[in-house]
Amino acid sequence: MSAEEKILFNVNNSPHVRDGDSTARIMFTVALLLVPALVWALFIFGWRAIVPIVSSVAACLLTESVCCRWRDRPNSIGDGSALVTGLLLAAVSPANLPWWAAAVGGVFAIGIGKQAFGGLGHNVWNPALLARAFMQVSMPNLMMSGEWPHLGGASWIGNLFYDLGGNFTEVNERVKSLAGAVTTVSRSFANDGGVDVLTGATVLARMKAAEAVDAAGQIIPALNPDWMEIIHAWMGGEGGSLGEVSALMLVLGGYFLIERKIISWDIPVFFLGTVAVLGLVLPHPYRLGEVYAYTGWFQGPWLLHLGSGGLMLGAFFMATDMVTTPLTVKGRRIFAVGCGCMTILIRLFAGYPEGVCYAILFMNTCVPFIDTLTKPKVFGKK
Amino acid sequence: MNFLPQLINGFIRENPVFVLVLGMCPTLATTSSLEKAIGMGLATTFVLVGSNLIISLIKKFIPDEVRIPIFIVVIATFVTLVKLIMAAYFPDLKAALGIFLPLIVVNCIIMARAEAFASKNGILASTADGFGMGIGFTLSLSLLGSIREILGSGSLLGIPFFEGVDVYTQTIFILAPGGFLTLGLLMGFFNYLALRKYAKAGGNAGK
Repeated sequence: MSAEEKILFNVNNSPHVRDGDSTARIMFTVALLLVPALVWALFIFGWRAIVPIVSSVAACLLTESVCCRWRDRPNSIGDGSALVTGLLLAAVSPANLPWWAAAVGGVFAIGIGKQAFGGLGHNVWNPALLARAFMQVSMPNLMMSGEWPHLGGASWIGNLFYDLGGNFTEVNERVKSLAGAVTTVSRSFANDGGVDVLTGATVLARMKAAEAVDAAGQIIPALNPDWMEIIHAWMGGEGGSLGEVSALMLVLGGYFLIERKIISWDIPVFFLGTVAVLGLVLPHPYRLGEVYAYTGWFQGPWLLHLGSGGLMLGAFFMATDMVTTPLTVKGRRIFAVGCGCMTILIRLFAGYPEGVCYAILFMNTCVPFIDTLTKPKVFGKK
Repeated sequence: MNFLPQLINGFIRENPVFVLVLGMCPTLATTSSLEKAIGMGLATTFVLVGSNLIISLIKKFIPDEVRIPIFIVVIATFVTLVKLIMAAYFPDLKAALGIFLPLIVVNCIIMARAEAFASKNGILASTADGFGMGIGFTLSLSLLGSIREILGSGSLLGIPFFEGVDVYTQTIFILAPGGFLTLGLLMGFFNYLALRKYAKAGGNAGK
């Protein structure tokens, strides 16, 4: 065979057509689109929220390179996946998480969640969510401190939402009336009568634990929210993890993810749609004194369900992870609907107030089965 | 039959937990602290030595068809002994071990050594085997228990490392998932060591 013939019959495996996408490009775009939500979180919680962000990203990058060295693989820091995991982990951490706890989470996310399974592309579960579940079991006090947005200093949003110009008692009363649940306010040492940190139950926890009817017989806001509360939830007026405070910023990032064709529209749409429909339709349990009661059908606060908790973060950034979701379009939709059902079931009927993390982890586990069930038929075969 | 090789066989080369992967139930359930791990390990060691000794003594009289029930009767006798001794002298430990103490009766290691070793070998070798396996089991459990207690409660043998250590402890390690995590990671680590040793000796570790 001559040299020309060799070039003529260049036998090669598929894929034959390639575009310019690479893992690194996708990952860095995702990281970039996560930035608005995290910047918003910094704005709301104040500069100290940088601590868990920097710490978990650094821990993820360090663990990635150490594990690659142990496994005799080329260092995969450059593909950006560890950076994304670090940012996502920060997004599901509370603002006042100590640096070492964030670092423990980062080491677990990469070391156990990803590298122990064989690196990027082999992990069964979303590493950041796995680490979040680990930390929730391991350090419950630190993870569920339920910090509310930063109210001291130059936080105008505090003034806007809570009328915080007033003094300690006034703030406390305002929050108490708003939350209808036990809320503690700690004063800063050198603050001019302002408030340093505010902690209290998030809207989902209130929806679940608090007595739903006040003394006058009115259902409290969590189950029957006014527009102000819904705006709180969407804009970041509620307490919560760094990345989940502003649903709006996450939707913005998610829109560009879809626009840049990094994720397909069907997972977020089906996930959010399921939550909205079930959140509206299903009767919500609440407590009346010692008795548990249910609201009627079709009365759920579905806008609040959509805007609160980590739902937007989960729907756009976590449930769309390429590695841990089904391969087929049909499978992806089943996956997304499953995530939505689990989220609402956990939110309404299980022990934790928020269910997005466990819902996605649970559906990640089901991915191999979904893939097997939705395997497309070869053309012409029965 | 050599006494010494049989004794150290169970320490590393045929370690019941990390190599034979036997007796996972007590391994996971009783290693949330070093104290419980040592208690469980020593109780199992006693039963192993006793049952191996008796079974190797009576192996000629055991009809093949009913050997398993007879093994269990012998093992149960020693477990009852351990249980009563522990109730008399270490009531706290007995309470901590709970149901897993009587469950030593059905511990796979003991059954496996009775079936695979004691019913085929002499008294001395069987006793050595039981002792070696028991110590290997105890060492493995202690390793697991130390790691889990250090990470999970910030203490060792119930003594905390410093005041206020419980801020930093990772509670998951004294719960069930932490047991699986630690066991899996340790097993991987020992496999890695074994493969490296094999590769150094000239074998091809990957295949």
